Amino acid sequence: MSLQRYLIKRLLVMIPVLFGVTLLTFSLTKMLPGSPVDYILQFQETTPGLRDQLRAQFNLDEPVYIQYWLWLRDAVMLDFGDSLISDRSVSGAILTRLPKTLLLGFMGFAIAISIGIPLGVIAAINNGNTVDEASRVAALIGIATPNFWLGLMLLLVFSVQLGLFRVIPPDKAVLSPAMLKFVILPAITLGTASSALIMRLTRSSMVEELNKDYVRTAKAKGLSERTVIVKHVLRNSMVSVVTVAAIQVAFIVNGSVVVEQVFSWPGVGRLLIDAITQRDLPVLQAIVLMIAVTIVFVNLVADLLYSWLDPRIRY
Amino acid sequence: MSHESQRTTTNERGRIRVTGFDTSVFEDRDERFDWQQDESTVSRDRLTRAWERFKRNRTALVGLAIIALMLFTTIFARPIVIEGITVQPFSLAPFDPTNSNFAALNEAPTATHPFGTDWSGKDILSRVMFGGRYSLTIGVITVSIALSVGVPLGALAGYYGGWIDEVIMRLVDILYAFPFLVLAIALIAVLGQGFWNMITALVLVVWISYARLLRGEVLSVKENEYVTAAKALGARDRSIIFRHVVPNAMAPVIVQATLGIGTVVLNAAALGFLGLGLEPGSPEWGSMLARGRSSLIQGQWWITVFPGLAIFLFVLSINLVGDGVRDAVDPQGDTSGGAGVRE
Amino acid sequence: MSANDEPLLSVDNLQTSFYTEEGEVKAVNDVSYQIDSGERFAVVGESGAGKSVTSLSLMRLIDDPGRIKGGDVTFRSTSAVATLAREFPEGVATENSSGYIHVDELRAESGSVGSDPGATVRDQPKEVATDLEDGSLHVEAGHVDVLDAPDEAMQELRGAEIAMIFQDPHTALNPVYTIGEQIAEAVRKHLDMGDAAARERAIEMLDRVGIPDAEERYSDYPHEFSGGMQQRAVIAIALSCDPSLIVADEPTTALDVTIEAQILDLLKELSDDEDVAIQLITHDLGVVAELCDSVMVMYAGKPVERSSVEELYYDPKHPYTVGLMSSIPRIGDDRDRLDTVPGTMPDLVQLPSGCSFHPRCPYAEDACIQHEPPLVDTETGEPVEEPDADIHTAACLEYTGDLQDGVEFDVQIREDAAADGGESL
Repeated sequence: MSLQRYLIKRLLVMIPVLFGVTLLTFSLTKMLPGSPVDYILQFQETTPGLRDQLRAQFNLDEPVYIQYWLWLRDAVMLDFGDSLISDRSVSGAILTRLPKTLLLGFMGFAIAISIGIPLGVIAAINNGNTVDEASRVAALIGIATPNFWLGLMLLLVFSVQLGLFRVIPPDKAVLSPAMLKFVILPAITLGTASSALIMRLTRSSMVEELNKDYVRTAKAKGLSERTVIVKHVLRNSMVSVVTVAAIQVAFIVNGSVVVEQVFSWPGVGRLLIDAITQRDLPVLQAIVLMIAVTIVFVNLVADLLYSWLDPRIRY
Repeated sequence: MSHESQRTTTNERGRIRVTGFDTSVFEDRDERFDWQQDESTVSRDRLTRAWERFKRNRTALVGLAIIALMLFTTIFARPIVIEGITVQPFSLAPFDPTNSNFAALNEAPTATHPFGTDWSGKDILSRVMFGGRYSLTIGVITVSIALSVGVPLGALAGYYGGWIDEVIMRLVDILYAFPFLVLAIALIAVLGQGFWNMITALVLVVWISYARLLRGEVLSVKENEYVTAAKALGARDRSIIFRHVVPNAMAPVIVQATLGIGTVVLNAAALGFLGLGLEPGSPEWGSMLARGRSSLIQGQWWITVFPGLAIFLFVLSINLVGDGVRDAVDPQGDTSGGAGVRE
Repeated sequence: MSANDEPLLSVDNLQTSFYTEEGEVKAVNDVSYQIDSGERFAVVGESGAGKSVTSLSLMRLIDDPGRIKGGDVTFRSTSAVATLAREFPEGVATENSSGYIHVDELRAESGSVGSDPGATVRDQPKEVATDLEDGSLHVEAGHVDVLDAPDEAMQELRGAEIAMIFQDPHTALNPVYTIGEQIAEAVRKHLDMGDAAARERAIEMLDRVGIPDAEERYSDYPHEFSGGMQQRAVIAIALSCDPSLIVADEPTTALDVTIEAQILDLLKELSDDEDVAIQLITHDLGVVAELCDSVMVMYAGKPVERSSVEELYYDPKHPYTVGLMSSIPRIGDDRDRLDTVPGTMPDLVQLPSGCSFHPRCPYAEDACIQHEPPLVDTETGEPVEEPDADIHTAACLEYTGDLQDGVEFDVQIREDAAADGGESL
């Protein structure tokens, strides 16, 4: 089947999942203790009409499924209402912070891939000997290190003791040199565990491929070791690597929540934590939804990549 | 030089018959012509072989030793009293972890306080030793519950297929779209903080990988012909599942579960760090790091280094053991466990 | 193509072992044979006899934990010698240095043969390399010591001079590249062609092996071909760079009987037309009869009989061969029971004493437990100089005269069998 038909098929399957995701997000936030109305009224005079007015504003008089529908309808338009805390629009708040999170995530991902894949290949080629063993241990250390601890350690050594970096990010534009310099430590923190996982998976999938018959055929054709590995084996290993890379996106989102706390990085992750501690429902809903939808699309892209990489997967 | 001329291929098939290779001779022949192959010195039993391989893996043994040591330390750190009976009377920890000592605030490591003291004068060594209890119990309990939820669901989905499979798998897909920590955070926001709330949140996130794993195993076993054969002989569904699927699936599940403990401990610590874990002030390793950041900037490194080191050591050891189990049980790496630790 | 009457390939006393946790597995245990240009040679035996390892050793494709322990493999293709002398002049054997490339006879472009062109090579391999490159010199005769060649030199030989076909075409092909590309890459490397020329050649090859619509099929992936077509594609790859020897490891075992017949016909035709020698590895005596000129039977890592195909079928000498042949059922066979060879081949880590076959041999005597029979000429009882299959050799004490009771079997040829009747063996 051609790539287009596969794409359409996958999109169709994605719809119920997206639906479920929105449903789950909505239910979760509905289950949060306390309603937004009570929260707002804490800080204001309660006049008789105000309560009803607020309830209407939040659609709290409608049956639950209508509330869901209204919320969903607005969400698709990226209208999440206003933050309970800051009175700014939720979308606005998120949008200002999004670039910073994207920068951090992207840098982390880049580090993870540029370290993970080559190391994995090297480990696979050296299967069994000391280089391989050493890389395995290095990977295990990378996975076991809690990212918040790593971040704190890096802060301690490089910012506090050596003074090479600032302790708090500067208040500049996202792509300014000062910001880019600051983001190095957080990006390393974020990328480390990811790179370890990518390395392990690249290694194991390459080792598996190296044992396959087509490798023997390629060697029997007289192709050089390098050609066999890079052109034949690596290409076949890519499917597994893409799988893990896609998972890493979720992993990095996770990580950025924590890493942004450690480095006081003004991104969406910090906003999320603040929203929870401050019970800012609309913000919470919006962020969680946004994250989930992104992941679903990332998986779609990953699926498309598979079928491009491996012509057999186009059923 | 071509061989054409020397070829006389015969077109007639079946023309040649050879007789005289008399196999009846073997029955009466003297024994000295019989030759038996020696039994292989390599043991055949899967379990024994696995254990042998595990024992040979030095890093795994180191990991096991470290875990044992940590377990020992944390059990004997402070007395354990159940229902008024002192089950464990020893106190390895030099100080009471909850004892504030305002005379010794934020002290760097000394002989009295090898790990230093924190902002309220509590001894960090004692807190680290005691705090292991939270991490270990959270890890083990979460994984156990998640297994008991995920394994049956996954097996059902795989075995019966059809709409059961669809439903369960859609649920898995939906949950999968939420990153581990984000989902856990959201759940804790709903449930509130505390020990059992945290476990619930973590279980809800972790059961998914076991369900998927089991489903995969069941599906691949289902394809196997011996299941068809068993059915043809009239075996009942349940016995098929138990007799055939479970033994085969055991290996990757054990590997995943072991590694899962590590994942859970890491994420529980992360929640603690974010202030969403157990009650503030509890000596859980992650929570101890929550305040660490501000102390760090003032140069009080010991408040951050030691609890974090404890987490690191524990997770590393668990991973070493988990990897050792995986290599012991499946040296070629064909089980579907994969390197994936779902974070 | 080798010069004069020297065999294209000589394998002498080859030994390859695998070192495992169970011990040393002697997969190839002193094996010698030779193949002439264009000859079709079969290596026959049960699974585990060491046949595949012999072929992989030839191509030096043995990896850990295996090692080629000893022996010589001499390859006398003049084009191989010329290619290697050009690319690796430092490997040419000269008076002052040993090497794995031996240039024995040179011919200058003008057609005259110098008084001792071999001397030229021996003194100045680098100049000779340049002359070979620009065509002013040609190699008339020479040989390569395959086991001494470095890996880069082997890469030149593999695919270009000696090509290999494996058993299962489905896994032998890389699933992510088109069939055409898999042929073209070999061509680009060995024949030094550009993309367009390589594509042309690949399509030509696909056509040659009987794949219809070759031009469209060039861009198809392996999984889009049927089993038989896949094997044809594999043969196309093997043939693409004009090798002088193709090693085929059970090429038809994974295919249906009807497809098998087509593939064998194809191999026969290609061998005749392009003058390519074939080393066929198989356990199927029927395939051997169909395709080959000479055959070597292996048991437990050692050769037990070697002869031309007619002699093997009409006059088998070794009890094992006899056992194999008598276990083939035939139409019109009026026996009640098949005489199969009872028991199984020993694990190559631990071999029986004396003759490895004695536990399964109906004619075994005490001498067979004590002495391992050497491979001897069945006429004279003496070992042979050259492993030439024209001399019928067998490894059985019967032929060295040490057997008291002798071996007794009978080969009958039925005169009344129909020409094409009877199933394939």
